[in-house]
Amino acid sequence: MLSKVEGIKQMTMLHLPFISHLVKGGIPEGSNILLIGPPGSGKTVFCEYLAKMDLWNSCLFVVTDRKPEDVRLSFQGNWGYPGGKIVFVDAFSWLLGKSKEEYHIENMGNLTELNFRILSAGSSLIRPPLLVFDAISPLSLYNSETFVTKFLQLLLARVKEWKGLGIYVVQEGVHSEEFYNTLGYMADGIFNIKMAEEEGKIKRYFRIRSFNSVAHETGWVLFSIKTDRTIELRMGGAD
Amino acid sequence: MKKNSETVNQSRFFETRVKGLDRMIGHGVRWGSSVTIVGDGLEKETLCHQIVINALNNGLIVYYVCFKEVPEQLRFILKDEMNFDTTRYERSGRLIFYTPIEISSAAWKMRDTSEIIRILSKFLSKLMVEVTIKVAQRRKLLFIVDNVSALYDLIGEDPRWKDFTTTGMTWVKRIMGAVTLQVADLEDLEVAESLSDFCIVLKNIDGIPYLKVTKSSTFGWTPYRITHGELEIAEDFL
Amino acid sequence: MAITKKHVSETKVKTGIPGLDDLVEGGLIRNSAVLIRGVAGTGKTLFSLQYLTYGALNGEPGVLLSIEETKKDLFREGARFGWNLEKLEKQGKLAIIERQPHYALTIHELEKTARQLRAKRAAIDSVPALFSSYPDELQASEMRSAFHLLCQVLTNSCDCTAILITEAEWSKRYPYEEYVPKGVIELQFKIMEGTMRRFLLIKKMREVRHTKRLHLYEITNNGFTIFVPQKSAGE
Repeated sequence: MLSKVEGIKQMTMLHLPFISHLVKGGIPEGSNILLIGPPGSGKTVFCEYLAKMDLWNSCLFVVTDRKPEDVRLSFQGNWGYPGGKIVFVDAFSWLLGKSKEEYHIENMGNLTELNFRILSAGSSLIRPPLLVFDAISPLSLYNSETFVTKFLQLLLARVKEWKGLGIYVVQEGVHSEEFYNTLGYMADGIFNIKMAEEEGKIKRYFRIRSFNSVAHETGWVLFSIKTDRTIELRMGGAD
Repeated sequence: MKKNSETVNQSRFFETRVKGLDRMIGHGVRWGSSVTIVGDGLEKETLCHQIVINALNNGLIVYYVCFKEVPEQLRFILKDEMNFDTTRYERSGRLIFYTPIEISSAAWKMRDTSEIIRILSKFLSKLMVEVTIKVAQRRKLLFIVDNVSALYDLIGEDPRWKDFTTTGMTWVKRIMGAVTLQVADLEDLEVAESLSDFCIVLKNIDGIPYLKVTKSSTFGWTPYRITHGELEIAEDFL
Repeated sequence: MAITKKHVSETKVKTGIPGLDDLVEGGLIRNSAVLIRGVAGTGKTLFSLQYLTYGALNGEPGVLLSIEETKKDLFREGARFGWNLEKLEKQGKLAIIERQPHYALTIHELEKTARQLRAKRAAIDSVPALFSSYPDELQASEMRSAFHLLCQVLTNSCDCTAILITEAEWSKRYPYEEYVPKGVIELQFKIMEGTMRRFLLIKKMREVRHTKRLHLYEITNNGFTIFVPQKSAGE
């Protein structure tokens, strides 16, 4: 549910139910968010959960490390897009040969092509869309970090133009510090996920590390993934 | 301007009326000029015949001096290839064929060149007398020499060649209203140039037929086409 | 299957350049990319304008990506030959787009415009100008894939038959150019005994029997025209 709040700049604010208790007043439309965490921390589940919400007119899902069919399977036909649709940009199948998706790339070393395919796919969607980019990290296997950041600049600008929301998955510990810093500077917000072993169990924590022009909680909250792949962010302490 | 074939061509220039050619020459050929069509194929004859037909249709008198083909052959070619019947013009005295010497004949080849030149000089004198009458009547004339190469092959080496040809050219220049049109093979371009005010050269370069007017500084090699037996310059390409 | 007239016209795209279609068995192959290469002054821009104008006037809308010439310049150029390009643009039969800040955006704009117009023809004037205007985005090593993407987008996503203008100097540096397109046409100047003449050479045209000779052409009042020597009755 997109609720309009009259901000100073008359911007539309997005209210994401499962995060709303961490953010005061909502997230501005056109925001680009980095989701950083180690492997297996639940970044993909987070994104998929976000995409499943009945908040978006459409979703542009860029996959770089699994096939679009796998994403569809995990959704189990549960979209919830009123009159909109989900479109995949397949940046993974090129490794295996051919892709069945309308929008796909032939070589990850060609970021121009990826950019173009995303733009192409984007123009077929009803605005505003949610852009999920899962994940950025494989790009740096085939392109220099400079090129990856240049490539992202264009994407981030597009999301702002579309007045949607962009969420970008970045692996922790695989890039240079400079890269993380540059990305952090370019994005509007940074979400972190971490894993810790407690009493013999793996626990996950989530926090909003930073978010421009938004008042938010900064502490780590417990991040649980339910059996039905829904997410709960539990405040441990202050509300 | 449509002209009655009986009226005299009043223009300052002789017009070939071949599409695009007069423009390349620059208006047309000045009266008193001598022009040679030089080429390496049959097209030079086609162009020559085309100009003759145009001249006859425009009221000129044509004196056709044959050194290569005999008149019967020429009549046939004009009829067969250009659908032009010479009978009417010959009867009315507007087209006159001359064969001063039979170049193809072995007998003539055996005679020495000085004798041939003597005979040709006599022919020229006779021609001068005939023509003077026509000139007095203010008719415009076209002299055709077909072809110079054949003649040159026969008597070109003779020391009197130069004198003979100069006499002929000077005489034509003095007539107010005559043009000489000669035909020569491409290999005799130099000779042709010495005998004319300018040359119209036809040459095939890399499979495309081109035409050039030697005195023109504006137009260079220009492609031409032969459509329905008639030569026309591709004016677009000028 | 018998090849009907309709079938042929569906597969061959008439160029609108008098004399050229006969040299390539009727026209260009549909949805192919053809390179037009030549030095400055050979008439490449005119070639592309003529190609698109002919299409626009015959039920095939077209898109032109012009890097160096403005729309105004192009309209004026077309007017020289009696083509009202402005009117064609208003009627939605021709679109002239310009370069965007990013190469990906430019390609996207091409695709978008082509789809809007339901274009069947496209022209890029010129590939060197386009690529060299993105020195950061397109490094030398990426040119080949950028070019490949361009051809693919034009012929597949845009569903067009495309003319790509390039320059001789550029081709020398980036020889990959010749491999992707189905055809390469070269325009040259030659000085013949003091006369400058223009010649067209069909260097390559896949799946088509084409002549290997130099063909004389000129820019006449009707535009780009190839000289066709007709045969007389006797020959």
